[in-house]
Formats: sequence, structure tokens, C-alpha cells
Amino acid sequence: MTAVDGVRPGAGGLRAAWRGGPARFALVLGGMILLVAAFRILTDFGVFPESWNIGLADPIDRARRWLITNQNSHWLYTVFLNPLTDTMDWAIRRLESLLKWLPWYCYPLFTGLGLWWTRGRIAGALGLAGVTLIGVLGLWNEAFATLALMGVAVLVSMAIGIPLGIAAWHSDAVARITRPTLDTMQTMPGFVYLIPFVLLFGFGRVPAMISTVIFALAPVVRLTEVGLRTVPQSTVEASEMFGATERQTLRLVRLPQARPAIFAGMNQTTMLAMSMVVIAAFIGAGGLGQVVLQAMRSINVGKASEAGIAIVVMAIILDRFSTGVATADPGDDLPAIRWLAVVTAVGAVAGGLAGLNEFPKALGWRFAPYVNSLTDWARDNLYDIGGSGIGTGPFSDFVTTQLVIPLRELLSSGIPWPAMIGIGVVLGLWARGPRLAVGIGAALAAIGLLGMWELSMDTLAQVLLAVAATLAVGVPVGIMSSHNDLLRTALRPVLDFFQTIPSFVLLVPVITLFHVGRIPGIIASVVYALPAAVHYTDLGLRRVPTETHEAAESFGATRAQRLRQVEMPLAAPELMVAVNQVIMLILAMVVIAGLVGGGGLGLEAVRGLRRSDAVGRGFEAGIAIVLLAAILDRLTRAVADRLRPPAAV
Amino acid sequence: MYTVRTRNTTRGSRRIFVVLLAVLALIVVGCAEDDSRGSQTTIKLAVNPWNGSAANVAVAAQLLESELGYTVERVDIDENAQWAAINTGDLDASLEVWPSGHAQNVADFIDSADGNVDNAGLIGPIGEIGWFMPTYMVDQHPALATWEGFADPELAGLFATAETGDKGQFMSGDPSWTIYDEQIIANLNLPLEIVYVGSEAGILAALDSAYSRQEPALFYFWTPHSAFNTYDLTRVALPAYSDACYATGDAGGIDCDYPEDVLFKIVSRDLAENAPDADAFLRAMSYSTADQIQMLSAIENDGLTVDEAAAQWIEANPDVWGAWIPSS
Repeated sequence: MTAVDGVRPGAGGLRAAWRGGPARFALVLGGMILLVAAFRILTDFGVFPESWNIGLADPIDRARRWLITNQNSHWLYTVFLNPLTDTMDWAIRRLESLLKWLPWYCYPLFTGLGLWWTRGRIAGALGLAGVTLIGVLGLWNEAFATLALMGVAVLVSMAIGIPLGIAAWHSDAVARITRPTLDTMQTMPGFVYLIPFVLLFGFGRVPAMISTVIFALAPVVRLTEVGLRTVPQSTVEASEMFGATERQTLRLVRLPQARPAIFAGMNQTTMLAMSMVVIAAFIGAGGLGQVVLQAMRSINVGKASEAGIAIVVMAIILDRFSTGVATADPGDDLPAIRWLAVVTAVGAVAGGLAGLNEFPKALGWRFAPYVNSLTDWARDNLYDIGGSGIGTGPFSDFVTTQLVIPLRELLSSGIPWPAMIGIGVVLGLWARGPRLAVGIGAALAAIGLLGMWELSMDTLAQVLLAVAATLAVGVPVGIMSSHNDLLRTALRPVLDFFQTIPSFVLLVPVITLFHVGRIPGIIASVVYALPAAVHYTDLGLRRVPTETHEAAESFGATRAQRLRQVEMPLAAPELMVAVNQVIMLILAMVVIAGLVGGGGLGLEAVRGLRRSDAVGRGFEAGIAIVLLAAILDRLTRAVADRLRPPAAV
Repeated sequence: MYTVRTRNTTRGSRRIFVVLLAVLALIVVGCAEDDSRGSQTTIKLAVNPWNGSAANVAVAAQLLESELGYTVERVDIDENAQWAAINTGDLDASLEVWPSGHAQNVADFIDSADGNVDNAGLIGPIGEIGWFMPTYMVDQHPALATWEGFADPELAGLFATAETGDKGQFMSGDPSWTIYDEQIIANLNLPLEIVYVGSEAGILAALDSAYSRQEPALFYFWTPHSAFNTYDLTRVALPAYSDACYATGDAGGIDCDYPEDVLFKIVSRDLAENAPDADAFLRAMSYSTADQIQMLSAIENDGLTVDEAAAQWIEANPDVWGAWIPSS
């Protein structure tokens, strides 16, 4: 649910390259080692020289100071930004007060009916229970604040995204601009968006809403364009034959035909918006996200998990409902649903007029105390089990001294910076070609010129370790699950849960168990990215055609041989997609972990977000994060394409 | 096929139209319920990420609602971000500003002609930021009582962790706080490294964990704080504060202790006109360090929520807050 699979079609004609892959890879590797050795011997380059820093921070800080001191007087604000902000703020508040005006019972009922209509009776019952649970947990008002903000954000995304998608379909010039822009927007960790918006709009619901829109916009634009492009030519011709103008054809034929794709885009946009709930709370979104942040500040694992579960419930309901709308088929239940909907609507207005809007307090129940006593127990007993030197505390120390610090030192000063850029260029050349190579080289150099080299290497070291750990656990589980339907069915809700739960909620228990520093962030990001690793591995292996299995078996291959020599190579491109997704998820999480001792670029970005005197540096760190994300993303996608065998047909 | 689809679409749009109309009608009903125009009835107060701030705001919010009939919205915001928000009127007031970190903000938003923020007087408590450690550390190594002790790599090394290697670990909290530790450590040449734990609760959790094992811990902390009731903590004597030393802050030259913080309140200048009673109340509000500590201790040690602690205090001290209510 995290993102549209960013898979590009294979470059084609790569059969030779694919066959010669391992040998060429070995050559590349050897070349890189030589390169590093040469630099190490011939020069004294280490960390990127600080004197080359182009110093973007100062102008940004000056701009910020100008902005805040002119906020009450300059025309940009008085004529344009302030009215815009006020209008949107008004809309969000109106929606929120409307949502709260309606009686509480109509929400579980409407949700239940909606899911019954789109997905059947069981889903309906679960929906009813889910919404009630949010009320029972005492998060009713917070849930509405979140719902109102997300609602406006999704509406604005559609109002911008659908026309933009149409424009991109209509004109190649527009598509040429939108596509790379959307690509970049999707690779940026959500956290990075916040800095420029705080700069422009200050603090509150509106900047939170706008950054949510930017983060969530891509799928609806992209899928509107794709949907329009795939409308069959014959249908369009038929409509033209009837003398329809181009506009009419678009409105009456193409758009209705593209509806399923547009709905899919809406669904993904909604899901992306939901994943911003906690992050947006950093700049004043309020609602459930704020509860999570407060719980994190008071290290209240129970409270954080309650709010986290409320967010998961909301996301799952929205997901199931919006994917079901396009294919809703309630069959015989339709009259009953309609009848009940009318009754509920009448009941809603009646209850609203009677002022029954508060969720009854008598129905409250919390599970936070149980979770808290469990984590207290874990903190006291797992930290160093029986004083044996085994436990989360010693483990955390071991990983820090044996892995994190050596790797960080290797990347930031062990490998001289020109060699690091060289490695990037060679990898790019090998994976795709000169364009990617130049891009990677330029991006790495830019990171250095921003004065972010050391911090970036710190972050990169954490990312690499977390990726290795995630794959070491996730790929085997994925392999098992691809061979075992029972396991897969059992895993699915667990994976869904961990993928939907806001990443911050995972940080809270981890910081109580492990030493402060980089370990909590690394562990939380592994947990966060595991579902993607399992899911894509499973998916890749399941796509290997059964005839291949049978052929391998008829040659007398054992199960292990079959897996190693047949299935894994065939599934390699999917596995690379898994790697790509895992890297992007982990990078986003490691950045967030800057908040709890993770250091690196994340700390700089957080500081920029929260200290007026550090905005400039935060901004630079944000750019470095984006560049790092872009490099890792393009590189892994290029490798995935390389591994993709030429089309079988 | 063409005609069928057209009919479907028009029927679809009609249905959507009806739904939109219904929503619009409901919005109008919703508006009638709560009219936000005219004189201001909702007061937005900044809550900064530490319990003292939350306690002040809880007291103010409960009294503004029960005694003066306002609605109060509490907004979690960092101490730096709040200035711009109060300047534009997005927020109305903040009740516990620690001046040591905000000289620039005071100049930009209070003293400057463009500024739209007023100093609304003192909240009462006087704060001190500093470096703290469990007292058992000083008992074992008396040299640690002053910063010179930490200049000794061996003694500083007692505080080393896996994360910091040979250097001693200095725990700092939320990166948004007023923090000069990087400058102090660099300028005094101390073999220490800063690790940001992220929050007040994070420092307390790490302290609790170290304290239970009698392990070393060195961290950024402040008084007034209820933790001093639970843990025996000693402040490290850094070179004494001087204005001259802090004047070098922008150039990174601070090498002395934090100043004493006389905590004060700030309000938006628009508030006096838009909600005069709330403005008068917030300006008058002031209580003692003991009053605040009493609430903090109820929150941190007895597990009360901030609002429960505030309600308890309000119940017990009508003579204190009675003086804040404007006579009308």
C-alpha cells in the first residue's frame, strides 16, 4: 500500500547482459576495490572538504527571517497566502464541526452499511466494530480532527490530480514535466516536505494539509493518465462516429472508461495521505497523530498503540471501502441496505438536532495499561536477562560497536570521498548507463558541496545495515510463505498491520528496550520494512510459472536446487523490487529516528523543523536526504530492470 | 451502447448532485451551531513539549472555560515555532517562555516595530538549566563536581557508552530546546559527545534505567522539576554565567553555564481587542514554583493526567487564581 509499484518496463534486448551478469559484476567489484586502494595510497582524501561547502544555509535562514517578519504586512501574505490559509483552515474546521455535529452512532452504522454494500456482510460487521472501537478507546474527537484534515487533503488532491492527469494525457509536454516530478515526490521521505511548508505557511492545519496533498498527489495523477491512455481505441472511434466533439468524448466516454483506474488512484492517494497522519502532526495537524507524538514524548507505549490502532482501523476501512466502490455488488442485500441507510440518515439528523454527538463515556475501555505493564516487564527483564550478558542492552552495545560504528567510519572516512563518488559512478554505469552514472556522480558531489557528506554517510551506514537485516529475515520468510499457502494466510493480517501502523508507533516500544542512540531507529526500521520484503519475495516466487518447477523436477532437481538455481534467478527482478521498496521504507524511517538519538541527516532535518535558528541547515539536510533517496531508488530500479529477462513471448 | 452509458452517467451525476446538496445543507446546519465570527470566543494556547508548560496551560484552560466561558484549544508546538504563530495570531499565547534561548525572538517579535507579540509578565517560577548527574557519581569521584573533572579523559570516560566510544556520553533531550551544550563542550575542550534522546520522558527513562543500576549518567536537565523528589541529582559546576559569554553565542563562543531563567508569558497583541477578558486573565496569571512543582509531582509520580493535576490544584487554591479573574 505504500506506493505504486515503480517498476518500469524492461529495457529489452538485455539477454546477453543478463547472461554475462555475474562475470561483469565481479569485474565491476574488482575495479572498485582497486579504485579505493589507489586513492588510499596515492592521496590523503578522507571526508569531503568542509571548505567546499557552498553554504546554502545562510541565504535560507535570511529568507526565513524575512518571511516571518513580513508575514503581517507583505502583499504576498496579505493578498495571497493568508486568505488562502484562512479559507482552507475554515473548510477544515467546518468539516470537523459538521462531523462532530452528527450523532456518534451514525458513524459505525454508516461505515457498516458502506462496507456491506461494497464488500459484503462480514466486512460490514467488521467495519461497524472497527469504528466503535475508536470510540471505545476514547479517541473519537481526535479521529474526527484527523478525518476532517485527511478528507480535505484527499479532495484537494483529486481536484488538482485529476485535471493534472488529464493534462498529462492530453499533452506530452505536460507529461514530460509531471512524470519526473512525481517520481521525485514519491521517493522523498514525507518528513522532508515539512521544512519548506513551515517556511512558507508557518504552523497549523493548513501547512499540514498542504504537505499531505503533495505527498499523496502522485498516484491519482499517474493513474488518471494511465486510465485515459488505456481506453480502447474502438470505443473512442465509435463515439466520434456519432459526431461527439473531443470534449464530449472525454467527458462521456474516456473518463467513465478510465473510472476504475481513477478510483485505484484515489485509493492509493488516500492511503498515502493516511501514512502522513503522524508526520503532519509535527507541524500542527492535531488529531490522532498528535496523540502518537505526545505518547512518544511521554514514552507511553500503551497510549501510542491505542492511537496507532485507531489510525490502522481508519486506514483499513478507507482502503476496503474505496477499493470496493468500483466493483460493489451487494446482490440481494441491496434493498435491506437502502432501507437501513435511509433509517440511519433520518436517525442521524434527529440525533444531531437532539445533541447526541458525544460518544458515550460509559462504553470506554483502554488497553493501554496492559501494554504498558508488558513493556515495563520487558524493559526490566529483557534488558540483561538474569545478568548473563545476554539481552537487549548488551545486544544493542554489540551491534553499535561491532557494526554501526565501523561501517559508519568506513563510509565517511575509510573510503575517500572521490572513491565513493567513483563507486557510485561505476555502479550507475553498470546498472543502466552513462546517464545514470553522471546523475549519481553529480548527486553525490552535491551532497558533499552542501556540507552533508559525513552526516549522509552516517545515515547511509544505518540504512545499509537495516536493509541487510531486513532482507536476512524477510527473504527467507517470503520463500517459506511462497511455498505454503497456510503460512501466507496466517501472515497476511500481521503484515498488513505492520505496514499500515504509523512508523512512530514502532519507535516508542523500541526506545524503552534498547540503549539510546542509533539502534532503536535501526530496529524500528527493520520491523517497519519487513512486510514489504516478505510480500515482494513471496510475490516474485509465486510468479515463477509452475511449468518451470515441473521441468526442474523432471531433471531430478532437489527442492533446494530448484529454489537456488531456478526460482531465485527467475524471481530476481521482483526481489530487486523488494530491495528497492525496503530501502525506501528504511530510509524514511531512519530519518525519523533522528528524533530519538538516530543522529545523521535525520537529526539535522528534525532540528531544522523545530528550531528557528536551524532551518537553513535542516533544509540542506532535507536536500541531502532527497538526493540519497534518489540515488538508492534509481540504482536499485536500474538493477531490477537489468535482471529482468527479455519478454518471454 | 453510447446512449446507455450517457443515461448511466447522467443518473450518476444526478445522484452525486443530491448527495452534495445534502452535505451542503448539513454544513449550513453545522454553521448555525457555532458561529465563529464576531468577537473571539476560542483561545488558542501553546503547549510546549515539557510538563511544566502543559500544567500552566491546563490551569489556564480550565479557568478560562469555567470562569470566563471561553473555549480553549491547546496546540502542541515547539518553543521556537510558537513565536511566528503568535505573531500572526494563529496562536494567542504561550505561558512559559525560558528567556535564555530566545533573545533573537524577543528582539524580532516583541521589541521590533513589526512585532505583534507582547510580554505578558512573569508566570512565577524561576528556572535553571544545567548539567546534572546522580549524586552517587560525585560521591565516588569528587572531582566530577566541577567541569574540570570532566576534562580528565579518564573520568569523562566513565560516562562512555557503545554509542560514544572513548568519549563520555552527554544526554540531551529534544533538539528544539534551548541548548548550548555543543558550544560548551567544544569551547571547554571536554571529551564528551552529545546524544539526543528526543524528549523529557526519554531523559527520564534513561536516568531511571541508569539510576536503578547505579550506572553513570550525565544529562541536560532543569529546575523546577519533580524528578528531584525521586532521584538525588547534583548539578555540575560549569564556569559561571556572564552576559559577555552569552554575547558570543552566535559565533559559537559560549563556554559558561546557562543563565537563570525568569520564566515569562507572551500573548498576541490582537488578543486585547478580540478577547479582552482572556487577555487580562492571561496577563494576571502567576503562581509560585511550589505551586507548579506540586502539579508536576502529581503528574510524574502519582500518574495523574495533566488535567486531573490542574483540577486538583484549582480546587485547593481558589485564593491564588481568584486574583486572575478580571472584574467585569
